[in-house]
Amino acid sequence: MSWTTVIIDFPGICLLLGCLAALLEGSVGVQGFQSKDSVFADVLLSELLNRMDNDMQVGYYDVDNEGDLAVAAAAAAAADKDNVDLVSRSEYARLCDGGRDCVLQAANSNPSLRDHEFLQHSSLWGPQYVTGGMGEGQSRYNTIAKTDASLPAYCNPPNPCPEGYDMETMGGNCITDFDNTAIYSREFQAAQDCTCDNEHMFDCADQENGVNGEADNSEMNAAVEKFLMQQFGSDNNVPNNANGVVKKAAHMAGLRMDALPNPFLQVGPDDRLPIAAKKGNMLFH
Amino acid sequence: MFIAAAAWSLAASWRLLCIVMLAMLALLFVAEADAVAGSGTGSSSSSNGGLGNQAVFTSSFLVRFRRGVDNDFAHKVADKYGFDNLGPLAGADGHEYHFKHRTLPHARSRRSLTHTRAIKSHPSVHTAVQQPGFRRVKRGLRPQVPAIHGLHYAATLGESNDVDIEPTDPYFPMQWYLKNTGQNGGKVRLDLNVQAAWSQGITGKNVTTAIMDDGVDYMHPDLKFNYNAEASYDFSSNDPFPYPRYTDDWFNSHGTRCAGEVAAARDNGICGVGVAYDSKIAGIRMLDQPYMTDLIEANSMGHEPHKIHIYSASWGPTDDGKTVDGPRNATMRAIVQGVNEGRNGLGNIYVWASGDGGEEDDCNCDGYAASMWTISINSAINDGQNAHYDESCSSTLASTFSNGAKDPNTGVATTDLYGKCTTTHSGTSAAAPEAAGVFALALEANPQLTWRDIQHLTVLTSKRNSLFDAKNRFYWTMNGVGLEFNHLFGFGVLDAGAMVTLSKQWHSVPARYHCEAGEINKAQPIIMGRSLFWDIKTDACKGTDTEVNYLEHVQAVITANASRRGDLELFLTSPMGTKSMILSRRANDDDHRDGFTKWPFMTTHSWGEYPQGTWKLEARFNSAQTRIGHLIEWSLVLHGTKEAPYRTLSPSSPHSKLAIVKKAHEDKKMK
Repeated sequence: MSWTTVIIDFPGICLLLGCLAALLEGSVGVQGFQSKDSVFADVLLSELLNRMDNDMQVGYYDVDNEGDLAVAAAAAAAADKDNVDLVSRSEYARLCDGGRDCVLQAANSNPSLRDHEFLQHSSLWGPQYVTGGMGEGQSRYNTIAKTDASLPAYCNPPNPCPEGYDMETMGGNCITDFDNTAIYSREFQAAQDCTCDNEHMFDCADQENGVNGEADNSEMNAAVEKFLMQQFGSDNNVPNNANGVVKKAAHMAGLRMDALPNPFLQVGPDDRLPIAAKKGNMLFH
Repeated sequence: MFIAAAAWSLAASWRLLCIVMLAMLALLFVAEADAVAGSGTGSSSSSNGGLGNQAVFTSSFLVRFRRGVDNDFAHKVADKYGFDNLGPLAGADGHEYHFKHRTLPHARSRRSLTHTRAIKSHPSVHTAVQQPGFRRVKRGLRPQVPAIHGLHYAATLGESNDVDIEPTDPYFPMQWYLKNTGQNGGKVRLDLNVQAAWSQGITGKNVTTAIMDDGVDYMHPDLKFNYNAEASYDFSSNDPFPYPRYTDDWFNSHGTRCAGEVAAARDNGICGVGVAYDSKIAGIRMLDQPYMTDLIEANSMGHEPHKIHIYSASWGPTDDGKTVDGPRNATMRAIVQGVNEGRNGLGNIYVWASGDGGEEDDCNCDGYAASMWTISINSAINDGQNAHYDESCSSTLASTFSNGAKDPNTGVATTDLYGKCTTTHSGTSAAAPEAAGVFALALEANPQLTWRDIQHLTVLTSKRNSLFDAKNRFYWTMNGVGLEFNHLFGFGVLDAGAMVTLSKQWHSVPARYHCEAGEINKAQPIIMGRSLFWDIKTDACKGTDTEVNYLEHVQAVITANASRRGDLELFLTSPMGTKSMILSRRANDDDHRDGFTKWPFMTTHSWGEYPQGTWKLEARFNSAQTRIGHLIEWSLVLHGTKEAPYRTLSPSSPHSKLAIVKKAHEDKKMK
């Protein structure tokens, strides 16, 4: 029960270690996020450090001296030059005697006739468990917290031209001759070389090109490795895969991702979060 | 501006025409398609099918009274507002009269809103509809003169109020959440009351709702004309076309189903009808990759904040009853920016499904739903019970409807992937888009509403109706200013008609301030079998720049730890005695390490109350086994206005929630 004592002293330690963390922050570039299931869970000190590290970065009210709202308000107001100051705003409200046109006038002359909201939330740490809805139970992806650099993606769906969409003005390249059926989409995607979604495809074996007996998530791991390679530019830097999936040359050849990688998937380590899934798809008994 | 207005009146006139031209339905569908395409692309649409694109409004008004009145009374009302009473309509029991304005031109191209409003301001008048003029063509004969006549008295005989006609879409009878006639064992009139909004001519025009999900089948014939391509994006594959990805189990149908609830087209013979069937939907495809990132979430929630008015989200942290998680840094910033700057400064509306974790979860542990800047929506089933999967939390503002009754035909009927229809959309996922649709109606009724106005309107117009907790755990309680709330349903079920009516006369609420009311920072053990009470006495920043006198949201930011987090319960009691359960027992949460670190528990239950006085926080364990834990830190943050928020509004009825709260605020001032 050592945690009890630690907790009691938490505020004190917090102050001391907070400064330490602040000092360390400059040199330690990468945050040590931890899995809730991590075997290192017992290393209390490192955990505390990590948390405070986070606290420093994700400050309450986004102000280093957390807590003092007046200061935060002043700071935010000072930062935002467009902000009308509080007194004049309430004066304005008083002048506006509630006539029918008052709303419109107020809104037109000054669209932000109100106080700005502050960024205000708890510091969060660790992997983001954003699944839910479907199934409602265990997470469908192992919440693996191993190191990786960037993220895999599934096949790209077809891009039919929306109704009334003007190719010339909007400048997209969409499909004009489109058939809105499952078969069309399936065939469109089957022509791509991409990660098979074994959660929702009945048979990924077709795409495996005769690679039998692989673990279910081999495709995914291979994709992750591919991205690691891309990130570090060399095979040598690829960390050992903790899951021990053997890297197959065939896989690497087959996993040609799009020529232009999706920038929204090019993120730093520890930013990989399990997918947010939808609420309520399986709620019919 | 002009084009938009023309498109508006075109669409409006089209619906009116539709009533007498039901036989020409197919033809009319083409006209509608034209109208919507016209408003979408900004081009003017051409005359179609001889109906003309010129809307014509006569000086005749159909006036419906709240109760049956005699001819003399109707005469007096007509006289008062400059009308002549031409007599009662047959078969309407004295409820409906034909008025003719004395000075309005016989035919004009625009509705006269001022005259409609004037007559409607009479307390006995329920609705007033200015009658459009049609051309009547004799069959087989060529008309000599394209005459324009006002709708003759005789012509309205036996016809009910045109806009009160139900949609003809084949799935409409199954959309019990729009109109509950008791189908499949439901409770009659337990619905969103959308007809009352539609009857006022409010159908969501010029409002765009973004569905942040797995994509939208924007080629769906029931959605394609209401699709806003400009505001859409696909973050999962980085292109402007959020068409869903194929999977063998058709898993990616979720966004399409949500979109149909908001904006499926009316009277086109396909599927059902959306809550705001003339509004637009934008697709934001962002759920469909193996892993989520803060970047994708942030970009989705900040996508085109001036073109998108409402963002609807039906996803969130795992509803496994043991997760405590929320938006990360960039996403949080995007939401804050959305409410501060979005919609040209009025603030974007974020609608959130409260979660499907069931009674063992608490959505205050879901940082998205618990945020002040999102409107968290729970669901009720067709007889008023909470759904078995409903999570509950004090941050829920209101409820809409979803599946869960024993009868499998009580799901949510809407559009489905690949041009199909479904009757089984489900979960609180299905509830959030319904709310988004209702808010779209409110925004058409009054485009100047801020994000806070929408929340105030939600509080004031949601109805208790016949919602109840099937397990008798949570009762309806009155807060300190007379607002009824329930831990499960917030302030009740959304009422589109009431919301639109109040939106029209709404005056924006006064400036909002954030007051840090107090802080306690001393680790104290929570003893088994006893409650630990902490008090904060506050003057709510009186005399400072951030003085709060009338509450909106209240946040208790808490740091606590427990040997089993799920057994910890937290309650917050306001100075006016309103007790909110800000954390309920979560049977599956076996965390013993993380506890809560500065977690902002939010409650809406003290809405409208005065914050000065003593706030009480209660912490206790709800467990048969011995648990130990500590309350370490509590800071209380009050959000609300200095001025009385509703002082400039005049309630239509002394029994309305608005009247009750307003009176409570006025009584307070007297003291």
